Amino acid sequence: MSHDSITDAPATPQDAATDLTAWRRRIVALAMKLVWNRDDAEELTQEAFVRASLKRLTPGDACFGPWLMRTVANLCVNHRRRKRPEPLTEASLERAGARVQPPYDDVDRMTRLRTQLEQLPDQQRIALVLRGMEGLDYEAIAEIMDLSAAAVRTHVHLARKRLLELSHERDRA
Amino acid sequence: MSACDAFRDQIERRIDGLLDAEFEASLAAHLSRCRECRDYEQAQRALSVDLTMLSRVAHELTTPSVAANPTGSGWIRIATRAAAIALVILGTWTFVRKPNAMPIAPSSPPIAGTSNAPQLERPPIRFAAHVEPLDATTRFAVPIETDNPRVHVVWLYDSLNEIQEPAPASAPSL
Repeated sequence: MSHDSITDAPATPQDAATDLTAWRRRIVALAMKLVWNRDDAEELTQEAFVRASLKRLTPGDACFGPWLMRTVANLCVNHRRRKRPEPLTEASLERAGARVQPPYDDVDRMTRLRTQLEQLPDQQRIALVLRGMEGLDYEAIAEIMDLSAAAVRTHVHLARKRLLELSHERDRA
Repeated sequence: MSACDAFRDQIERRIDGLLDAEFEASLAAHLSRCRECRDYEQAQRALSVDLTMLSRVAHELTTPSVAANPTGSGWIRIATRAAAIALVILGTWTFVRKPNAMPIAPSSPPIAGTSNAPQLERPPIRFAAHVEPLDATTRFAVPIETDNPRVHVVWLYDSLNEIQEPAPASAPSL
């Protein structure tokens, strides 16, 4: 994707074609962060693109990116898991750039965080994934979630607070 | 909202890179004397780092190394299906020749007072012409269809090699 903002439109049809591929990759990655199964993520991405084509949206449309991300996020939270989440392994963490060292508790920590994320209310989970994992700013997330930036900030704050509480509860147990 | 709550909001803004410079000094002064808020900031930073790492892992899982070689992956899939079809044909042929070798559970002992009850006939067995890979790295299951929808029989194989070179069909897993 050659644009910094998710709302920038491509300049030429070639850019649009390139963007379509890049968008697909990006949407699969977002879906993966919400369902944690590659097959399901690709299937839900496909569904989102089908819906976009039915609405005749193209990468040239300014609303294409936010609409696609909102659609796939909603599909993901309404999705009934049919397949097991992909296992997180030391190898996958190392490939992702983690320095996996003794006592090798990184895999446990990441798996635990993933489970705790799934316990959050849907809006909080989507907001935190878009902010903390996708790295989007609050205005961009607000456009995707069709909320105000202040509301998004509240969702992110509550999500972070809840994750810390869950972590503390586990430490106490 | 307590003083700490207000500073914790500023801590999150600072982690997000959104804290106005005018609040930096007061926040630093508060953190120097409030251990709980220092712990809160540390926990928030750790969470932020972990979320970033989890994001990288998700990207890694959407582009596994096997996906970089689709030809090889496709070949394995075709080989698996071909091996499964060959196994189905071989299995059917075996059981046609030896009908007593059907993989069924041993019959239960008779219940007292029911010795004259009519015996149920064994359901005829048909093989489904497909393989369901339960997991890419562990087992393959060959479903065996029966006429009874409540009876599900599968034959488990621990590896692709086992399917390619089937052992004598004496002790199928149920």
